[in-house]
Amino acid sequence: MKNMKIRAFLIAALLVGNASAGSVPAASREIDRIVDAYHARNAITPAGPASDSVFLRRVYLDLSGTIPTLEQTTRFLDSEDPDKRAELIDDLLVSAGFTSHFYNYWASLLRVQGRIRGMPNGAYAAWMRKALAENMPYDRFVSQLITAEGDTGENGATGYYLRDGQMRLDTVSATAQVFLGTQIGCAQCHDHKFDKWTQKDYYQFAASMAQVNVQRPVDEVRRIRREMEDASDAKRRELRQYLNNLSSTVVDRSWKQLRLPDDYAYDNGAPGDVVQPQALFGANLAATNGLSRRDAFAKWLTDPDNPRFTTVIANRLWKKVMGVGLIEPVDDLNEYTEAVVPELMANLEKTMIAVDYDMRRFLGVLLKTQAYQRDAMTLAPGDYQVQGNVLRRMRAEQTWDSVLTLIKGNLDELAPMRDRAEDMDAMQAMAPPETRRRARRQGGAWSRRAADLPMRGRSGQMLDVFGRSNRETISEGSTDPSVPQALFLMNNPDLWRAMINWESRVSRDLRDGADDRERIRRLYLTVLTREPSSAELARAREHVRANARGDRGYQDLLWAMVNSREFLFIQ
Amino acid sequence: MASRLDRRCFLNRMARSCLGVATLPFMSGASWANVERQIAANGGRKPAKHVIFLFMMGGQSHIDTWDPKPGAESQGPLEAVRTSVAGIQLSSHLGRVAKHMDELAIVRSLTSKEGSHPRGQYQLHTNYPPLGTVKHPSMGAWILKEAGRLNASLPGNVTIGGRAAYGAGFFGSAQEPFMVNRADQGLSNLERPAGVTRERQDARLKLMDDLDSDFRTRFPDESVAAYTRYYAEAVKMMYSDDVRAFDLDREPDTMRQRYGDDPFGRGLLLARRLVQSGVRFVEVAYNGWDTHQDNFERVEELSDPLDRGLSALIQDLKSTGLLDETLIVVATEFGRTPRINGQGGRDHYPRAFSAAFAGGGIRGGQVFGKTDSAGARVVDSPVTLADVNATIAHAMGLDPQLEVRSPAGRPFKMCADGEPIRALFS
Repeated sequence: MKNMKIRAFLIAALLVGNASAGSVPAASREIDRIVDAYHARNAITPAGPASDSVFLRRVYLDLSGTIPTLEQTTRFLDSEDPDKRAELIDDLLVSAGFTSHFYNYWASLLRVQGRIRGMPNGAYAAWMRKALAENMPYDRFVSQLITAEGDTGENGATGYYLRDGQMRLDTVSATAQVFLGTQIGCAQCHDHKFDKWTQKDYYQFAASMAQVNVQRPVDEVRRIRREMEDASDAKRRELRQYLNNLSSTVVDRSWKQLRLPDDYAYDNGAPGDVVQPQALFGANLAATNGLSRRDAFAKWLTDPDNPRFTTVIANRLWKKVMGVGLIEPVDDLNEYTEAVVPELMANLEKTMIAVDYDMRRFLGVLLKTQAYQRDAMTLAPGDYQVQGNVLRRMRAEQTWDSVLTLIKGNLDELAPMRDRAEDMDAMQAMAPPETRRRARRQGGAWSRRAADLPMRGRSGQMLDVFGRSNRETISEGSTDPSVPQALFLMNNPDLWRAMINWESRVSRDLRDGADDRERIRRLYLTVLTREPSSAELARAREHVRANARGDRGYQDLLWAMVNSREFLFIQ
Repeated sequence: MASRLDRRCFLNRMARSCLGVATLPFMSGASWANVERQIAANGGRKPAKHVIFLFMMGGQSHIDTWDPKPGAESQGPLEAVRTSVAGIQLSSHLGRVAKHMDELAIVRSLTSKEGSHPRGQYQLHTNYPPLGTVKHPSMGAWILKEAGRLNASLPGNVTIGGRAAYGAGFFGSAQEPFMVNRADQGLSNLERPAGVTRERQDARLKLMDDLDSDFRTRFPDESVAAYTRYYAEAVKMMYSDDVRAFDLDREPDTMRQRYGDDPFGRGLLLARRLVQSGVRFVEVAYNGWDTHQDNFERVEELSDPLDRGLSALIQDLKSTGLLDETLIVVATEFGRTPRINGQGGRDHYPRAFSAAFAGGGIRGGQVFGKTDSAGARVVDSPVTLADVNATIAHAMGLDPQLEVRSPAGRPFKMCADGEPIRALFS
């Protein structure tokens, strides 16, 4: 804990030079200056400043992926420190919750799966968690993925290739989309219909990173599977463990030429022609002599001079905390793309380079702006002019972690996971039914964050219902509403058993309240991170008094608040 | 201009969002015009209203089911039986189905290039090869989107026992298949939490609405309003009689025996109940056809539930008059090798395989296309997986070439380059 504080201080100090931790860095003030000038020039009235309550709930959800606990809420609201917002931002940026929350984000975009076509790939997820926990700079993060090779168990970054099996062109298209915001993938089968890319461009681009082979121990897997068929339960568990630890190898095969496909139909090449590597936007990869193709490619990709690399990540992170990107969609940029406030986009790129692609420092700059700390608003897409923070539904993982916070309290204090979530699919499958039943009785999934739950199985039901990414395609998941979501929050027996359990965090917080008024107040602070209005207090009190038997009235109140739109949305 | 367009897309998306929405357009004008064109083109035949898609997951051996080769070396020990239609034979494992041959059209000339399960299955469901950058909508999602729902209190697209690897894709949650893992378990989260009476739940809902009203007034956003509508729909669903369609306990024991008291049989029975209640598209997945070993024993075991269930389904739909408006499709991702391997099994074989159709305007009693004497090559009228789906679209009165753009602006057609097998209808 002490270490974390020191680290927070260091990070903040780096950002603001000589100023003390917690104060607003010059880069944040510069963003506000640009936004204010833009608003003045265009006669736009921005939203007013957000209250401490609104800010608190938003910043917790944006950085640690969950609502704050009652204790965290009262501590912040009661504090009279003028720098308390900036200090909280710095604390949250180095919290365990941040790593968990940002793991959910990147694992969705990079389609992290624990198993790929029967082969274990847990090391990929573990690598990503570690990189995020250590705050690896974004350019290095990307570079390590692109250039990964070797044993998948030893270098988890190789999961970037293992993830697509032998479908190397899928890796190529994903690379362009995620890191360059470019949908050149459309040109895999034909010239792009709305962008300038030709099929030949696509293959030249592919040639710069696609000569990678994934060698999987297929025969060994087959052998073990056969052995398992007749094995005893104990032996089978042992074999499965062995299977889970089998690794593959990612091998560079630069010498192998990429060729145009058999059905290539354009005039500028013939089927089977060898394709020379070529970067996008006119850059020449041949100039970087002495490097392997992928090293040269990674160097070009992550270079601050690459016209898309910095724009894409700066815009993605802006969207992540502001609700809407300055450029939408964030992964389909073309030469006609114009940001909402172009000078702001340019400034964000400059800031990203100035912080050396340190994502936490960059987020710190964004979150300390007045632009971030405004009231929420709703807008039709296309009307965004940085007027305020745009109302968003919680992501599936935020919904789960928030509900879990009500049940368990501070998630950063949960016992650390002994087993990787990615192995849980296999573990669950091999546990004897009685163990599984017992785990369910003891709350099972209701003690793990979303990031620590497996992608398959019953424990993730709520996450699936609320639209988490299935990590098959590049997607943050869906925040669309649905009837099953309403049914889940109203009726799910496991959820409500855990929630109204005598030992749940929210039950204990409630019990500590001296009278009805105080209990209702605590419930509001716990679930909605704010004080009730006098009308709300009166209405809640009326209900609690009319249902005085046991905890009934309070259970109803809790139910009503968890099922409210206010709970589900981030202001 | 761009922003107005965006807003329209946004509102459209919101209005469509999720099952249960009361304002759902049941059929767009364009679709109606299309239907009328199709009726005209089909000599006055009305389009089908429902699809029951039976997915033989794992690669069903064509030679041991729909395309027997009596006497051929590739046939192995299996025998063929006569059907109710002179000159058409099926595998002896499908003896009950054979009695309904006059309702069935068998397509024996399917061919594909995908010999891997996930890729073949994805293509069978979406008509496109899987790509890392876009998730294509499956046929069930397309049909729900274009034809709309018939019963507003039930989901329009249901998958029983299948996987979520193919769903609504870029269409979003409104067309996402409603997943039923086990047919005999009904729907989840429909019961109130333990100890909560209906009266108490009503009081809770009232409390929720009162306490949340400030927020809803301050944020009159479509996404917020959509949740409020869906809560109302969810409550309606909890008490709706229509939801009983999901409850197999309401079927008499004799009926359950008729369909077979096994997962697939129960899936078919549920499919029939759902179609009777107005569900558009029901897929029943039947896994296990990947018979690399002991092909003959396993196909025999696997065929029994198919034979019993499918014949019961055809019979029931026929006697209730629903067969004309319900298209039944039996399909698989690929066939299996004519060659029998060292373990008495057959391996993946996308070069030649079969599918079967019934109801929904299909002219029964026919075989379309042909393989050679070993079942190894298509020798007459080759048909692709996309053609199977185009045939489904055609039966539903929809244009298989209908084009939609993904959110990223890429154009995709409902059935890619698939063409309906028109001969099945005439």
